[in-house]
Amino acid sequence: MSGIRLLDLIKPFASIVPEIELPYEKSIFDEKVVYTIAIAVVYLLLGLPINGVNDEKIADPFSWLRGTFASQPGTLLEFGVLPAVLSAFLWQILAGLKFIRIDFHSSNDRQLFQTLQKITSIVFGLTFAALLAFADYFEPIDYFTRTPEGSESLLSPSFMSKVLIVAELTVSNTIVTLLAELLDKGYGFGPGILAFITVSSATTLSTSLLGLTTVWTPRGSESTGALVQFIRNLFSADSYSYAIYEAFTRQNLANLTQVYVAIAAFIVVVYLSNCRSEISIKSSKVRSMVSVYPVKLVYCGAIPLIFTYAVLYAFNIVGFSASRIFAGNKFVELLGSWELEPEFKRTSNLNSGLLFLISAAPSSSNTILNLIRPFTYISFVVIVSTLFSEAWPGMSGSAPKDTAKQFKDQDLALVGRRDISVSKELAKVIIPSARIGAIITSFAAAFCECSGRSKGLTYGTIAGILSGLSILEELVQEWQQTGAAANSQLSQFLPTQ
Amino acid sequence: MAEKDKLTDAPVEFVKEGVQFVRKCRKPTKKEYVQLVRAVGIGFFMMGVVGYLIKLIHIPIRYLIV
Repeated sequence: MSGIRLLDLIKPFASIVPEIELPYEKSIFDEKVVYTIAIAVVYLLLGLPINGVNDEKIADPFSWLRGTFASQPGTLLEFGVLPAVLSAFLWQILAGLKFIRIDFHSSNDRQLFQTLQKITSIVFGLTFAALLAFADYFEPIDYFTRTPEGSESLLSPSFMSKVLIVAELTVSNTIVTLLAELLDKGYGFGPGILAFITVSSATTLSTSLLGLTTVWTPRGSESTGALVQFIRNLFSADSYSYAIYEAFTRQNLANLTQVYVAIAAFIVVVYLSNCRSEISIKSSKVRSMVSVYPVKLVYCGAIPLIFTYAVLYAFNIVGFSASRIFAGNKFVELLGSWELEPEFKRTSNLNSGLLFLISAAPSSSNTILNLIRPFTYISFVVIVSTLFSEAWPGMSGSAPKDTAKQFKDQDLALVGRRDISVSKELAKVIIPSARIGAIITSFAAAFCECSGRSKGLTYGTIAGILSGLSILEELVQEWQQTGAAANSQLSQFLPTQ
Repeated sequence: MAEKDKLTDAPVEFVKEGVQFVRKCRKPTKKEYVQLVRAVGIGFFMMGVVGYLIKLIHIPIRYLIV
């Protein structure tokens, strides 16, 4: 073991896997903005239906998980950013725990590490696609008979078309991974994954509120937007009270209650993300220059939330496929069982089993499970996010020690402290803030979700807004530090400071 | 009793620390906060609307390829 590192084993693959080249020179501010927007647009456009799958006729078992991963059922974005997220977390954690030896200062090692992440992401995408395809996930279900019995659009995919589906999903997942890499490597702003999550959760929220497109349901055509549907109801329904009640409670598409809860969560999260504790620092070179170094309360941003749901999503995909492939097996049933939602037949929901207890799927037919579920679900989300947020700074290079080193490099010192104790002092602030930030945000998100009526909209919105804010922070930092304000075309739109 | 006390001590201490920490934080003033919510909200909402418009492009594409 001592001679060979895992990273070296990756070397032969490095030449095969497509890679984004680093930019020749540092991209200018305007270019970065344009790149970021363009890549987000390309990502959204990827949501095209898969060949051989009718995305309007599949029953979606993961609807409550999708908001956080920018994924859309039955399209090329079936998994959204999940494989990329999972592989990034996996290797970052393994590197943090020193399971793989890597020197982040060597550019060669970093490159290999990225290749490793990319390969893992592609493999994850392939595995998930194969699991779902052979678990008959892409089987069309006629939720509302507009197509005659036995017609072509109701045939379940043949073996060859399943293989084709897997190939399509793998390719689209590779494209998503490369798009994220494009943003990560300095062509645009922010970790690419966070950018996709932000854009997609913003889209979901706006669509849930104001979507004008209509969907055909057993009750006739309904608007995707809750507010639009509400106004339509007012004009068409016989009684106003029913119209209002319906707009707040409909279950097949977004309803007003969900949207309001999401907006409330949005307001709370914006407040939390602006709480910070400030450490006074001074320059050790220039005298009498005292300023503050802010440590955000939500130190890790959306990352603990995303991690928790990434784990849940992966569990659910594996559990769902297992429950279909090994149908009737007792142990698999203990894990979780899915049932087609009877009224609209658009989703199949977790109904019982261990996975139900840690899910925010709509409620089960079992009353006892329903009663325990909020507690187990909330405690699972809060505990996982909190444990993760405590470990994450150490793994991602934002630990107190690293920050202290940064200070030293920039000739900064804490007011009234000696150099040696800087990292200790920082630890006193950073570690609690990471922990408490994660507890509060994850509790807020899980609490809104726990009844199972929110269908992931709130969780997705919170994750989206937190990731959006961390990208915005990077953007503002670049704006202020590089003097982009002077030579940017955008300066008339952005405030100059 | 003593053991029970110990058992409950850790979470209580934990919560106490947390509350103290949050109290020490600098929080945005009301004016800042309203401004912030408005700015971020409009930004988020606009992004969503643009995203929705992009998704509308899917409708003709679907007709073309299906």
